[in-house]
Amino acid sequence: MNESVVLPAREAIHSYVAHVRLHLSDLPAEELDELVGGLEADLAERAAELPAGSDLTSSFGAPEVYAAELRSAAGLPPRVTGAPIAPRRNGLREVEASVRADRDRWLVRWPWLKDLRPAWWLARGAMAGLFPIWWVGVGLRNPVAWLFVLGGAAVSFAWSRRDPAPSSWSNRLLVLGNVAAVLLVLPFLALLPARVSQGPEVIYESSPGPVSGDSGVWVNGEAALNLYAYDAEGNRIDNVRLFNQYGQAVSVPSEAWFNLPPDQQPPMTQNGTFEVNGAVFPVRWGSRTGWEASAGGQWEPPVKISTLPPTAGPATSGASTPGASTSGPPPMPDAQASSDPSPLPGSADPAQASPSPSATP
Amino acid sequence: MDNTQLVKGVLDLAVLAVVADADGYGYDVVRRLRTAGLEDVGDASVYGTLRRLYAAGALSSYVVPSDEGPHRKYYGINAQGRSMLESQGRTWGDFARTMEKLLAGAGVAS
Repeated sequence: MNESVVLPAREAIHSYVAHVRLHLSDLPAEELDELVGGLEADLAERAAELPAGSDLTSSFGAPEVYAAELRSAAGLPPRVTGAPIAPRRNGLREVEASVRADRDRWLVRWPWLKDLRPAWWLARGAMAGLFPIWWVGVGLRNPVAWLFVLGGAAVSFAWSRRDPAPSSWSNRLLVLGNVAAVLLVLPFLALLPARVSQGPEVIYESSPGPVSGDSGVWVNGEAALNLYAYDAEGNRIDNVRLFNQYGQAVSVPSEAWFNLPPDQQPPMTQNGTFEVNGAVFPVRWGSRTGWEASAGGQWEPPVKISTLPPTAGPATSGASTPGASTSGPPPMPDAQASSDPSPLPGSADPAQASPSPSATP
Repeated sequence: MDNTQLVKGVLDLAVLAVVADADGYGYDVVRRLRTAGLEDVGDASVYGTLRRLYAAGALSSYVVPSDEGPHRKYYGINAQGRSMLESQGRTWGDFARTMEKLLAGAGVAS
């Protein structure tokens, strides 16, 4: 059956003995232990004398044949034909044997799984340590929590690293623990982030509106529908393109206009987005210049605002950073750059070659 | 003739003889039997026989923990086992002599 891939000797022997036990599982537990106890050590010694890479089944025979020989030599009655493989008692043994058999099958198919086992031991132990912590509701910032987590990982690792006794209560416990850990880990991982953020140290207050950092341009916690730029002399600057510190274009996402009355919305494309370049300010579409009373009707951008005081800087051309605030109608406060991957300047409206002011006096 | 059938019939006696010489664990007994010439003896048969002799009160047993692996189960002979060995030994001797005579009568060298 498994010709090419050979398990490491100890694993293979443990598995072989487990299978032999399985075929003797109708015997009373005491009898079974007497019969099979010490078998693992004997087989280990026997296997060590085999040529490297030998398969146990081809050397010792099939586990069921071996079990039958053991049984008859011991003067025990043969297994009743038709007797269920699963015994009424020794249920835990049965589980252990079948789990081990499953595991061995996986190990034969994917031998590299074995390399992952130390990681699993650690993760399993950490999980076991984390569980009570999580249950009690102690956050991970508490050093005691880490004591549990690291302690659990260490105990689990040490336990699995030791040589397994042929069939002890601790082994059976370990098998059950592994099954439980597998069943627990996945839902736990799903719950963990929520639980951690619920910890007493981390409290996120819900803010009344959208928080800056969402897609788009946000000013004082509110999505900006448009931006209006003025130069140092207070003249309008048309076709402004803005970028953040990462070189990402600042743009108004098209969803922003969904909130407007339909007659103020840009034309819509067939795929449901607005036909508008949200990265060129003021944003305009159709026959609009962009300088109309702002969509939403809050403010009409004046033709000219007050000039900057001469100390404000040498900037005389457009697209300069508004440094000091001026008297009169203030320019837009500094807008939060968005991380929206909006159209790059190169792909923007070809009409704008340079940020030349084309203000209408 | 298949040796294994013959071995089965005298396995109790063979195992008792080996253990009477010195205590041994399962595979140790197997190895000593093979070294002695019973090459066809099966591991599981020997383990089962040890277990049966123990259950019949002919052997004592003790466990020796091992540093590098699972523990070993040693078997040693007791007084009951020695008397069983002697009586079975005599039975075997009688049987073997009978067989030799039979074969000699047939002109076959044993």
